[in-house]
Amino acid sequence: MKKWYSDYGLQARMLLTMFLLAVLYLVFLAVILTFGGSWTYILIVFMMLMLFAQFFFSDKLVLWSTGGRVVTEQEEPRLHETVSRLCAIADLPKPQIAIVDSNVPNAFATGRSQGSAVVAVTTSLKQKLSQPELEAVLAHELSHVKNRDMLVITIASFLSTVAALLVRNMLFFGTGNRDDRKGASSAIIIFVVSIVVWIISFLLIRALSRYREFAADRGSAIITGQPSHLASALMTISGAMERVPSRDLREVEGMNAFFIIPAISGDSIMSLLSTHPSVEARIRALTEMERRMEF
Amino acid sequence: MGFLDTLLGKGKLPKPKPDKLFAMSTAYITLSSNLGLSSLGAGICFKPLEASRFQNAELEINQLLQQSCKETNTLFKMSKDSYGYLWVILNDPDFEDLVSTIYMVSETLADHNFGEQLLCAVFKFKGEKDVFWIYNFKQGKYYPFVPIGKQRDSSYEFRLRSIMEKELPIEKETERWYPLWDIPI
Repeated sequence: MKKWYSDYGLQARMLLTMFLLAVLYLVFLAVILTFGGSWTYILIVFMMLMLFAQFFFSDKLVLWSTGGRVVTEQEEPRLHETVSRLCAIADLPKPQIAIVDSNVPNAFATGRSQGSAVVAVTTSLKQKLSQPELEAVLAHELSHVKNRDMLVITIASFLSTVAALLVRNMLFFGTGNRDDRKGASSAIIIFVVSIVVWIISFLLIRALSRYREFAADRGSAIITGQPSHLASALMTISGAMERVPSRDLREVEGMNAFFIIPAISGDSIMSLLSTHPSVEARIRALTEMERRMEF
Repeated sequence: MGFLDTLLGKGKLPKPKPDKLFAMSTAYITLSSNLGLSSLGAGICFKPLEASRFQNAELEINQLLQQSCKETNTLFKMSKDSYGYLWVILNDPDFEDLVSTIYMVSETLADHNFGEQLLCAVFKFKGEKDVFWIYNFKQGKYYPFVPIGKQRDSSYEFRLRSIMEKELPIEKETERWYPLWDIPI
């Protein structure tokens, strides 16, 4: 019997994306090791430290930048019980729960590990969604925690960030030792390779991020057993998104990678550049799951 | 979850571990003699799936319960709570029957490939306070839950743990002692 919840196509695409990223990064590293000077190594180590710090303090950073407030069980008994039941079924340690005061209905998960995760919902999400829909959204965020998406994306974007930084550095400060012809030509090679790596890895990471979203949708359906609840939640959220004033949209734009639905409405950006798949595609995948559950 | 599962984002649910459930039948002797607790019934809680296969499983559980409950004189009812979870509530003066009927329900679900949907089994006792022992199917562990209004009597829960530690497989991480408010038993 084919399991209703597995999607080999999605897993194959994810694996291919990660493989391409790995190849790209290996080439990039080889170029840096061959042509780079000591300053490139310093830059890499520096970026490593920065990203590690960002990753390590991600829960506090994200809560701080979104203005989220961790709530106790007494303050939000229903939210807490919904999450703890889902955690008991999924066998996850219970994350901290935070509330963001915002009239954009959204939710996000962050944190370096399963043990230190934070799941946050906005006040408007709590108001607009019904209990089963809210449960499905929480299960989606818990799936991000379970799949360690924060770690996966941080690792995947490390060398991409290095490439971006190299490009910027060389644009603004030049290549350093210009008297030396050999040094100048290596710098140009590094510059060109960095640009190429930056662009390709950017697209690959966006693709990976979209696949992780599909996987988290899938995870939500598995935990709740009800794909249709997440589908209707997505519909409610995206419907409400189009009606909120743009001031709020701009305020939250920086946090898009963490949100369940990005706060920019669909048509303005090409789907290739998006961190999230379109709501239609996600609902289609959920409906397909629901259909396969019957067999 | 293995490395590859994480890499591919395959969120599988862990299988239930119903074997340790029976520890409660022997532990009941200590619970009643040392703590003066008497059984007030039990329940098993699971998450329904929106598929017709699940309705078949539900139907079969209902039929099985009707048969076996007639033999053992157990009273049963099925209900849904406000979080959308299904409960099978059992009442029987014979504690052993209670435990084995709970086990039967969990096995029937597992036979239909819905074992992953099991949340917990709950045994309710009456003493100086109402005491619940909750069995977490994913961990295969018990933990105590003593609600007083909207608060937990943690000190009594810890006392229960120290008394029952030898006889029941008790969840070591107290963060996993999830409360269940408004248990419909």
